[in-house]
Amino acid sequence: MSLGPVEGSAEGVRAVASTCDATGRRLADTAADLARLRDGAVWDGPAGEAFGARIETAPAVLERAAHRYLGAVAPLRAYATVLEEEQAVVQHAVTAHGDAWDAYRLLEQRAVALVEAGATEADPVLLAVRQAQQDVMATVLRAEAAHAAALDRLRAADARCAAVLGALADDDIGDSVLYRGLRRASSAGHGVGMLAALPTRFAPPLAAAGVVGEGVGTLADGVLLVGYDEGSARDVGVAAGAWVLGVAGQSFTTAAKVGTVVGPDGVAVARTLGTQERILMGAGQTARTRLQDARVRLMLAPPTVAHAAPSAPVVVGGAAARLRAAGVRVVRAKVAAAGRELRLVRAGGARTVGLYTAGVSLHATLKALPHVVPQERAPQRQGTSGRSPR
Amino acid sequence: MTTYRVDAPSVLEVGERLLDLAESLTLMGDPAADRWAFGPGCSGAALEDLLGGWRHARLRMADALTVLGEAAGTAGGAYLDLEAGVSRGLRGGPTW
Repeated sequence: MSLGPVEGSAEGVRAVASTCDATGRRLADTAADLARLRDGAVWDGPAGEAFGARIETAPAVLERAAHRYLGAVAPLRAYATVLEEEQAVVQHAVTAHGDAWDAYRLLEQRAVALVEAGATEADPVLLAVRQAQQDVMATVLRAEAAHAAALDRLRAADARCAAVLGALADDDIGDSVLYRGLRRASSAGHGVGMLAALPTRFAPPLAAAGVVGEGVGTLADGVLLVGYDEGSARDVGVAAGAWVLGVAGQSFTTAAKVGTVVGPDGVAVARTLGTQERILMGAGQTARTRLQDARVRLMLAPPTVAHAAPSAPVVVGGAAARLRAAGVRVVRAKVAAAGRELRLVRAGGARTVGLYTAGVSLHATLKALPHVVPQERAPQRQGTSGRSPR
Repeated sequence: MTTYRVDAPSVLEVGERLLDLAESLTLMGDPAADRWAFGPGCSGAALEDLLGGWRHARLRMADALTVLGEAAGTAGGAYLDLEAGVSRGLRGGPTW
């Protein structure tokens, strides 16, 4: 009998713990930012209500998610410590056990040779060999006991860790049993559905099973779409149509789902993206493109004082200065009026939060812009400086 | 009197942060890849359940953050339009 090592990697568990720590902190920080934004700003109007509806539950969900990740850090690190220690004990036992058995076999060969040479069991030399064998066997038994004890300690640590992780998962953001069942049915159904791509004449039972599996997966997708607003009606329709036609619907959907993505940590991960993930990724990319466009416009937008002639004299009290000052006052008054209309009473919290609140409030002023920006073109003037409303 | 400043680059930065988080949330949820590190036992499965078992809430959150991030981008762009238009208007140019 030989003893086996313990699988796993303490360093790997620690890496997972570190990832959980970083992710949890990021989620918690964002939750705090959004909570300050939600609680610190009073913003009346339809746009404010829509914004409030979006942000209302976000901090709570993020806090719970952060609790999951941050709560997992300590038990994971504790388990990693035990795993590392017991792996060392187990490995030592495995080595000692193997060496002892090798020694026992050599002693046995020596004993056989002595017997073949005419020695009896009462022969002192053979007795010494037998005694050595007993000593070696004691080593074998000690190694087996140490191995078993290490496994027991590891199992106990594993159970403690799993219990804590299980308790952390018992919150109100966890997926329901029905949802998990539907996800499994979708995944397994489409997986079996690949069999439908086999030529019928080569493997008719498997192809038939594939058609059934694809139907199950498509049905589960439909329930997820209707019941959980998850997925795409178009994808479900394509898969359902392909299934009805007896074609492997998987060929339509899998190609689009499989891809390699680069995570936020820069690690490329080959994974299968579901329909919902792809929809969200698409929406995110669209929004990101808009942000990039805005950044480009920011770079190209004329600086507020760029066109002011540095050497142009400012005529204090002159007609040009009075006209310019009057224009600024008008614009400021109209911007302030737009602000009052939105009733952005206060912006609380960190600087970015306030900025964000103010920025989002401008979203609602899009329609008011023609009224805010002066309609008449002022006469062209040399050396006129412009100021933005701040 | 309540005052607030609007800084378009900061608004865009906040929007990008929200979109980054939305993307991270979208791509989360494949903890099975780390299960090997735990060896035999229940911890790997428990961690997989803990980190992957909130998929529905996670995707809904990613959706909400995407919308909020996009709103920040739109707001930042609107402010830039406003700023540029006012600047041009004060110089005597068109205000669009």
